[in-house]
Amino acid sequence: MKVDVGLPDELLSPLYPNIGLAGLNLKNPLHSSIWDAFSTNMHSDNGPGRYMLVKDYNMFPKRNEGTNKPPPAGILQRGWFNKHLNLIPAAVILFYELDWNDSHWAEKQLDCGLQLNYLRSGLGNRATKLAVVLIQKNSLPAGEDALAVERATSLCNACELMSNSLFVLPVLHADHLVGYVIRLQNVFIDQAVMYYLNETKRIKNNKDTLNRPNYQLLQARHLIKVSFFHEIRKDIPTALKHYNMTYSQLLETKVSNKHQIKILCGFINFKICQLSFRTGAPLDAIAQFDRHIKQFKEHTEPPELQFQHRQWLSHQFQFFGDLFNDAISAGLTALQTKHPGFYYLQAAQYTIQRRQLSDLFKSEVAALVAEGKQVIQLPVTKYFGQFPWELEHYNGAMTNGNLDADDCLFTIQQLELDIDYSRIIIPLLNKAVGQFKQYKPTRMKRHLMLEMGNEYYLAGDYEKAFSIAMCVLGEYRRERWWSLLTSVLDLCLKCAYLVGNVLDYVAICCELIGINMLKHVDDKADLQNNLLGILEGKVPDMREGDESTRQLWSKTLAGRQEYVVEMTKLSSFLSCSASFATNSFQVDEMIHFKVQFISTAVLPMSFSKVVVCFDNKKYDELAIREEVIELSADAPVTLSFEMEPFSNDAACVLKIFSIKLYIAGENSIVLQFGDVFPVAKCKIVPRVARATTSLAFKSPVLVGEFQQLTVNLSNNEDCRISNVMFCVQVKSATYAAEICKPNNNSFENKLDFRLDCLDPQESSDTSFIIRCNSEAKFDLSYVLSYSIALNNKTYLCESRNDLVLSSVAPFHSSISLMSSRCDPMETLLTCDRCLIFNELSASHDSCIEIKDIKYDINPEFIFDEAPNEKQFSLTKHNVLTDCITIQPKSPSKNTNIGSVSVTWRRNDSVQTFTTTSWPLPIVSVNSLPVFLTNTLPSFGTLFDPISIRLCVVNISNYVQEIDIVAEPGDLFMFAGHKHLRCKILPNDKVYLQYQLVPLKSGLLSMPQPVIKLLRHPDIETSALTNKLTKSIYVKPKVFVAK
Amino acid sequence: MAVCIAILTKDNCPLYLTCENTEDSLKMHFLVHTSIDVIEEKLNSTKAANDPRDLYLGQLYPNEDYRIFGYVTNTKIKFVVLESVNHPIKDGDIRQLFSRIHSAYISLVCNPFYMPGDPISSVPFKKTISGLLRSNYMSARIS
Repeated sequence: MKVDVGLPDELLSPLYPNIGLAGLNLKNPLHSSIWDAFSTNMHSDNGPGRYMLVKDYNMFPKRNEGTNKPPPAGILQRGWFNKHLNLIPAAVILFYELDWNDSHWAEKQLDCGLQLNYLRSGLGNRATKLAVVLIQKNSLPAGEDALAVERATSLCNACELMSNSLFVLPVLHADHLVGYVIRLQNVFIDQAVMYYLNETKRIKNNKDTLNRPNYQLLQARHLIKVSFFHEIRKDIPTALKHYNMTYSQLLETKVSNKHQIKILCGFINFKICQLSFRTGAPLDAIAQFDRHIKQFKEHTEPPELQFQHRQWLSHQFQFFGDLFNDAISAGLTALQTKHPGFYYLQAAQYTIQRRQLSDLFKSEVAALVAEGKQVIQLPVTKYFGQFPWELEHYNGAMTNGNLDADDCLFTIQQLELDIDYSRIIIPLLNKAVGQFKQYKPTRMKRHLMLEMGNEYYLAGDYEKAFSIAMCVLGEYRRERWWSLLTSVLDLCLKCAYLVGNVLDYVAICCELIGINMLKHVDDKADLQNNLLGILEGKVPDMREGDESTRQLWSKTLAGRQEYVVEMTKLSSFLSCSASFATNSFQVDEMIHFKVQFISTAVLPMSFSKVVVCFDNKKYDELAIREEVIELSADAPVTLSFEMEPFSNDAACVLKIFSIKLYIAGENSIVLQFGDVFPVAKCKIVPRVARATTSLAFKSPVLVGEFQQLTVNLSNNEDCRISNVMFCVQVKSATYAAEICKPNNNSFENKLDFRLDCLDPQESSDTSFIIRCNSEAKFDLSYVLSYSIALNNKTYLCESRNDLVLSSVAPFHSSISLMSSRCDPMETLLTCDRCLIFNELSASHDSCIEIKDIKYDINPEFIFDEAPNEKQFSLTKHNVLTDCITIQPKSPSKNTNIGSVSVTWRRNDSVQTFTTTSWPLPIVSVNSLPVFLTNTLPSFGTLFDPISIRLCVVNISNYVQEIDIVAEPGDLFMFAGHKHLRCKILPNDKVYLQYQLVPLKSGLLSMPQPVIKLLRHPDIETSALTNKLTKSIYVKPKVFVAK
Repeated sequence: MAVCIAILTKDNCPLYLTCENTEDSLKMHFLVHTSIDVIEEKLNSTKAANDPRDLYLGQLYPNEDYRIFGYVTNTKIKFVVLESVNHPIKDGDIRQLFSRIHSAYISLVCNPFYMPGDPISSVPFKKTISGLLRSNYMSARIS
């Protein structure tokens, strides 16, 4: 029996109008080229058409007369689609070689008419359009051809042909043939479309006469035909409308065999979905499909054929998936939750259900076969969706006679059992995976891959199933979906067993017996026994597999094998952690660490050996425990290890690299934990030096000073130390300080001192000199290293110290320039003496001994150096002031006065003196032509006259004319020159005498004269008068009572 | 009501998963697991478009046998409910169901002895959740 679950091929292929070409003899090269032009060039402007070669005029199927006969119980005959697509042409074209000026025109015209009549009778009463094409070898006439018009009319009359159905095909130029053919095709397809339109009208008329309710079947049949013809003539909206009507009509149809309805609805649904997608209405298609599936999902067939319903559902989903996919290739965008993958997946799942259903009757059928029941030949049913045993009922003329329904069912079931479902399911799943990949739902893809793995397993391709399952395993493990992981592992275990992969079998067992796996305790115990059995070379006891698998295993397990299982990746029954007792160990100490194992396996397990491996391979040998370790569920076992570090590994980091657990037997299993979490590591540090250094120095370090530092090394060890080395280094970015050995003048920033050895309690002194060049902070680091022999081992010890030192200046100096009256001054005058005060102060606690202060004065100045040496000592809060006088010789600008140098040392130092020098300020020197002084008493008394003398000296080489105005002010009354203008000869002087009577007491400002030099109007009074005394103290008058 | 209720952590590993029908439970587990894809997609894409206060994600993806609904708390704890296609229920009822699960979860987390992220072993919580499964819900109604 042809299974009606799929779609007929005619529905899947595109629908084109069918056009017959008659009168062509393919042996004739000309005819052959015309046929080729038609059949290969299927795309005319009016859409493509299908061309058939009419060889025999009686090849067309005849129409059954009498459509109003009692309705048959079937809806649509199996061959109907094929008949109208490929067998019955909508138009037939008769090709005839005839030129207008043919010499045998009359005979040929008759022959043509005859052939046309044969065709008409062959087509029977079908409304097929007819046309004649004259193949003409002459070229077309240029203008109006009277002969052609006349003969064409006569030919039309003779053939009973409409004049618009006669065509001419000139074949003189082969190049033009295709162009002519395309024009002819356009006309023919138009005619074909007309034919189909007429057909729909005819069927509609027929249908309208069917008004009796039991004619529902016929109505449905007519509707199918109408929609089909509409689709052929490319009127898609009308076709879609009619398909929808058909679908509703079919659902309403009452018929004893619902199966027919289901099958035909499947066809119509396909068409609706296809056209909806094509017209850009994917939502309509999806809604229609959902409605369709909902309608028929719970459909009941004969219970023996339930699997066929699943097959039908699977096909429906697959077809829809294909349609959806085609629409996507044509530019539709799908969603993550709505794409063809889901439909393929569902199709696969229905096939899986189909297999489950077929498993139900497997044994039953096998029993019947054993009884000798024969498979019968199933006939092809006349109508779509009929069951074979219903044949008799519908069509009494069947030759097979009455078929027993039981025989038919048995045969169908028997045929079903031969089907290899995996071949159907795996490609479906593959398609689904391909779709899911595009939409990136990774978990769904993983689930599908697992389904594929299951399918491969069922198909017997264990290797492939295993590799797929192993692929998805990691993700489930990472997300801790234990229930899913258990199911995947179960599959892996079976596959690993069936392919004889011992190592993976062991690993999977280790994972499956853990606490996280949702398996029954007894199953876990069985697995653990299998695992332990492998050690003894026993083949695991599994339900799967046959004798050959067992032989494969026993061969593999023979001989001493070692299986190393990497446990870190697994969520296994055993967890392992390791930790060191402390973060760092001295190189002369023992390293202590602990390793803890926790088992969650059902049965206790014993291990023979534990090996701890380190990143430093030297230590691997040191941490091995060879003893029987019993591990039972939830009873943690902690192992303590102790090992001696290698003496030359000081300052190394020791990290536990992996831990290996051995289960020994005939074969051995090694459970290896790499990268034990949390990573256990410790640092091996050098032995702490017990020899000490002490550094003696005077703080602070003074800039410029040579200070001797003394280091005392003392051996506090219990035994003699050797290769003693002391290294001192100045760390300063600015080279602020340098050091050197005593009696050696080469300053460096690093010094080494070597001593051979020191006995216990012995001490040794070393000294070096430090010198600072500037005020700064710097580090002085000193390292003592030596080797010591203890317990027949030599250890290198080191003690490292850092000292932060800061250097300060020995003293600060402030220099000030003063006039002879102790007024601060900035510019000097050539005629005047000037005092330089040099103040030295110290800001540190040390006492400084100053031996000498020397001035180096520019020869431009008159300076009388005091020859005596000065011995002072300077301490904090003390100020030492030194004073010298200088007089400039000539006016100048920005002149360097000179420099001062101080020779000093720390007063408790034994070192030589150090000289520190710095420059004196830079000054400008002015010269004045006249020089004013005044003489007055040190104090005055109220109302008592004071005698004042003002002296003006001309120190220039010219006669100077001066103008002096005296302003007494409110404080004094005075007598003398109020206004004087006089001339002074060079180096001569003028005295002006005044008597002042103070009117107030206290410190009074003296009246200042206003002096103008007539030769030098630019010199201001203030520059001339600043040498004058500015104030005087006036005592109050004491009145004595008489 | 629901045939399967799952509580997932923010890292998508199951905290608590209960199914009505134990035969089909593996299939339901797979459905819950695959629905995480859709939840993640929804969380990543529609954050701006949807009201962030609406924790209900709606139907996640279509399946022939079950309808799958999702709900995400503010702390990214995910609730997934499977409901049989044969017993359709209203959207409002689903929302109500989720809010019951949420309040059960909140009272679980309020327990100071419960560390968020640990597998759930609280008896009252389990009782509340299993009471929301269809068969138990129906029988509770009848009695």
